[in-house]
Amino acid sequence: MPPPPLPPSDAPPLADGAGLSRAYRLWLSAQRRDSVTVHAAQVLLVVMFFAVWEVAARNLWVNPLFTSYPSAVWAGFQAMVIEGELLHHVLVTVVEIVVSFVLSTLVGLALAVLLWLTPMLNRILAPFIVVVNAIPKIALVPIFYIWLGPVLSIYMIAVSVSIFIVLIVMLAGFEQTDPNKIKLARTFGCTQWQLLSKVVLPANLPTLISVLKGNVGLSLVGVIVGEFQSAKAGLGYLITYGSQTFQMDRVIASVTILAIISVFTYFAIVAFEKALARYA
Amino acid sequence: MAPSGAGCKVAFENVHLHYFSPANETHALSDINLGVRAGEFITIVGQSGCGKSTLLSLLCGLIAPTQGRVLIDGAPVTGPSRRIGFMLQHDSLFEWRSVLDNVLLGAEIHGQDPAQARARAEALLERYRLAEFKHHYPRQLSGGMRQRVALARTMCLEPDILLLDEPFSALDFQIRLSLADEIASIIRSERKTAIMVTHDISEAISMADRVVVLSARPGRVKAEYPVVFPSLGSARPSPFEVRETPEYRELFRVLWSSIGGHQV
Repeated sequence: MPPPPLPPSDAPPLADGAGLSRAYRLWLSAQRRDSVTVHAAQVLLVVMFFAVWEVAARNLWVNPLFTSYPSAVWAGFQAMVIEGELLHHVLVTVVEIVVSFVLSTLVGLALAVLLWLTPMLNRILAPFIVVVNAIPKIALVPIFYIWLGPVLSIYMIAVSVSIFIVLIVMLAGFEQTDPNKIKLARTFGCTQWQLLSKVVLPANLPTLISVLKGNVGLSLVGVIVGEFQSAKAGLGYLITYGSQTFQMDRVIASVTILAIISVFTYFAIVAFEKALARYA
Repeated sequence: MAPSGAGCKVAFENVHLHYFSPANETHALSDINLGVRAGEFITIVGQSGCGKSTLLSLLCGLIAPTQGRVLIDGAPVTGPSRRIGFMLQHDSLFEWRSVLDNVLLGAEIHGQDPAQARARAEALLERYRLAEFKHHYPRQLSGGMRQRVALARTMCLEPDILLLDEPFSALDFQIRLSLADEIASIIRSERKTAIMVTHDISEAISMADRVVVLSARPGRVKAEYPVVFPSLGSARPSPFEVRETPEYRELFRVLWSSIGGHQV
């Protein structure tokens, strides 16, 4: 007889608490205690960070002109909201990030597929991809600015920063697809396209997810650097403008908003991953 | 003795195979002549690296012989055909597909009618005692169940020739014996022509009508032994019963020395 199937991995351990042994209950409460300690320490760290910052700046232990301090940052944030421009700047940056992210993912993925389908082209282009990837893309900001102007150059720099991770990591993933699965599909006489759509792409969905996680951060870096050079709007513009006029409260408020955007995009991808999580 | 050429379901005629790499050339198979009758079950044994798996790849059309001809029903093999079912050492189930969708993979690739293919797949899963698991995913199955799903995936295209490349070697010993029993009886009851490669001599004897021994590289057909059981009359014993017979022990001894099992 075949052995019974394994239970689903997320099966709850003994759902009802009545039958738990004393040792197990002690172990569980120790686990809970540890978890509470960790969370409390994390909250404490954040509170202490802001408290020390505020106190140090107000007592002039550090120069508040350089460091600003939390209450001033909050006031600067409110001022920007009241002036009514903050939402506009945030929207400009978010649109740039999303467009660059989608564009670099799609184009990078398409290039990876093309190179996988044509091994000869892959061999010809491989050294060039290595060299172009090795160029620090940030160094190209002034060139893109001259070639493409203030708006398109931002997209160009963001895409060029993030596209290589998509291309290189996805192609490596395609090439490392389980050879046994490929052989199996070939015994069924599948075409190269079927191999791609039925084996290679689905097998690399986990690779794609981790690429997206890295890519979203790189797109954000690219957009901000692009905005430093050329923008008349956006959070990158706010940061440069704020620093040139020595309004550190506004600079730090903008950086904080960027951090929040970054966290949101990351969790959006985690949510996407969960939606695909039929296999863990 | 083995029939060769005419009248065979499967035939190798003077087949040579060379592998090329930038560093060297490997003579993998040398002058293979081998015929398999329709409905016959043969096993191929030999030391590792002797090219026994390569014979199956040739037959399936995954690679072409450097010289000679590989024939199925008298016609040269040009590429993978749906008349051939190939069971590999690893079940290679796709973890992103349910059991049922894994079984349907071949039908999808061949663009067959989905409804008919699904009916066949469900019937096979029923026969292999997997019906209640058809919506499960491979990670939820045991090794023996996974290999039965792999068998259903192979059988779903209704091939008349089965190629088995050490299909049990990744399994625990107990599961291996019972699954070998089960698969041998399925293959016999459906009158498939089967060619199995193994390095397990007892598996080779217990499942086959004929055992073919390949020499070390370059692989040649060194000897062939019919597997018959005069002590049991005309009835074909199950693989498990085979292991109890005096003929089994005698053939094991002969194959052991033929393969060169004493040279470790």
